[in-house]
Amino acid sequence: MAENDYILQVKDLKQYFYPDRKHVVKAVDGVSFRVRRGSTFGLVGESGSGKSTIGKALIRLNDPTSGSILFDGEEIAGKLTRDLRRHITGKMQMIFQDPMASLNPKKKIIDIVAEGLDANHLYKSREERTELVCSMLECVGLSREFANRYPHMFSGGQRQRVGIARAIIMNPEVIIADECISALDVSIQAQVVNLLKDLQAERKLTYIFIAHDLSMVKYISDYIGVLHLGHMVEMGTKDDIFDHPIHPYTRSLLSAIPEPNPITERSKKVQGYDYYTSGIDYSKGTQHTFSPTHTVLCTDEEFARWA
Amino acid sequence: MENNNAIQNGEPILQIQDLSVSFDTTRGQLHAIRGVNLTLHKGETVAIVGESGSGKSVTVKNVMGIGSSNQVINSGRILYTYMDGAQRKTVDLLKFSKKKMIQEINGKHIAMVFQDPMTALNPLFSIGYQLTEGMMLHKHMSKKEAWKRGTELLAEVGITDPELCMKRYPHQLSGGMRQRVVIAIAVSCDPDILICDEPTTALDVTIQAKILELIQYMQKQRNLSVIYITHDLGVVAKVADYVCVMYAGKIVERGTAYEIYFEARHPYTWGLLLSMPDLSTRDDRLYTIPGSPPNLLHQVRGDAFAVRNAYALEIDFEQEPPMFRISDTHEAASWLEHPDAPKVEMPEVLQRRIRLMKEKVQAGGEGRG
Repeated sequence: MAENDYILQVKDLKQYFYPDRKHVVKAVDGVSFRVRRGSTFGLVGESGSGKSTIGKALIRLNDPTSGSILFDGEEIAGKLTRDLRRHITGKMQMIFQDPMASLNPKKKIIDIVAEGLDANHLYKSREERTELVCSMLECVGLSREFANRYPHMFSGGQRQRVGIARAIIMNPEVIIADECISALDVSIQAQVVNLLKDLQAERKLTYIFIAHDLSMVKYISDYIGVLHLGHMVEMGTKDDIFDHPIHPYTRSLLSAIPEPNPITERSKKVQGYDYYTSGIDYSKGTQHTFSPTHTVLCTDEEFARWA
Repeated sequence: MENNNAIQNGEPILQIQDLSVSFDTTRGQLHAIRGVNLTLHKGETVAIVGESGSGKSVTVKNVMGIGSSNQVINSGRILYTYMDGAQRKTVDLLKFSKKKMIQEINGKHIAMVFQDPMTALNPLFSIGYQLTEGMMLHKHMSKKEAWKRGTELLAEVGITDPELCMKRYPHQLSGGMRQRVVIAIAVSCDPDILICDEPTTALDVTIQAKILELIQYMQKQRNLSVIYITHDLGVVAKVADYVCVMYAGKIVERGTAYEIYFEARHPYTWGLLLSMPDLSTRDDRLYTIPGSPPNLLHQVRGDAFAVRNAYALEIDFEQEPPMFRISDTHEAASWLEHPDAPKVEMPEVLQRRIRLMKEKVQAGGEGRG
């Protein structure tokens, strides 16, 4: 496998926060993964597991404490030169969770979507700018008349489409979608997910899909990483994770997914998982390979027990 | 009067009859609810499912008497039956003033759990204060008694170290903990009806499952009648006895959970079921319902769903379908149920999915390990 098959290679990423002198919050504590070009990597885990922090570190909204992030073969975890920053902010884009909070209510849609173009001077005339934005709106399934409206005039699903248009207009290679469908209704979620899939096929995009809704993650992702308390406890293809979960945390997550089947659902008991009483220590574990695509964080003894 | 006058399980406790509500907006009248009928029986769970804007929250807000100030109630009654000492009383909640609702009904008889536990709790007061407030007012407990009872309640909802938690403030608790506190507050005055408005939408899957189990446990312990509002059909499958599917201010289909999931008749229900990816989905695209819900500022002609409905008949654009009875518990408002209508089967994909689900049940339930 050629090295440049992987657009992103994250190695031993650590992100610590220091709320005051005495405390340290290890939000991400040594996470490694690789993302293949044109694929979708799903990051799942409960709140506080560090999934959003990883997303923010990748796009350098946070400065990682240590570790390496190779983006297209270039190291972007350390100090950024001006050119490199411009490169990654153009080639990596983010879609946020709450489309109401992430769109400026005082700006028109056209100005919101064109913000990246403005910052990078990517057009020669006003007309070209308008044209670029309008064609982008059509591309995400909005009509071009919407360009002169304000965010409050749209429904949640439409706003999220604006958020997607804003991300795509820079012709990025990687899109980090941070819980981008969690705030939407089920039927709207399906529309947005279909749109994301279409855009991926059209533009060969790579997605980092951060979510806690596992059924959607399974649907959209090729690879899934399960995070808990800042550690990547299990990682594999979606079939590895869903058909052969090994780590007890993954199992408990899977058992908690509500299924639209009233007969099984009523009698189902969710498998509990409590890190502090389970006797598992993430910092002692190492990555064990279960199959070429499937790795688990555990000690030798735990691996023998679970696998 | 004897005490066997008490409301038995299965008797209607709350009946919403032909409720119609509109809002005065700057752009005219918005008909948010257009004739909703719903009956809640003692000890049962009813779930109302629908997209945002379908009117599910407006319906239950009127049960609580906390409707917005620009709303106009065009018609309808909300009959609530309760025991006042040994006497059975039936009242129309819509006739009560806001003040009377707060004094006599809210919290004491009908309690509500809201979506976002951070906004439902007041950040300026301790958990203990907010938990004891209702008990002191409604049950005339002394502060000491209420505090003791509150500590017991926190232990019951699964909070470790309840004494410490009583002294804490909302921001010191996690989302799941906060929702547990809200549930403890809701059941603190022993209500008959618990209304849960999207109780788990703001929470993760693992916490969601625990909160749902907690509500179920509370329901069993106290013989509560519960109304759930949600757009998540997975949640509904777990908790509901009866399901009402709401669309554009009307209930379009109602039935037992089994009937809605396995024998749905309304095309909108099919659409909702299909747009949810189940874990065995291998298809390339998810099904989506085309179009968007109608603008309720305009008068709806015919069936509100007709324009988005692939199975719409001509009459759907002309005349509103009545509720057609399918079984004792199952009704659907779709002209397809009319004896003269052409026979339409539910979509192939959905049939296959249901068949798989049923097979899985026969194979012994839990397929995944």
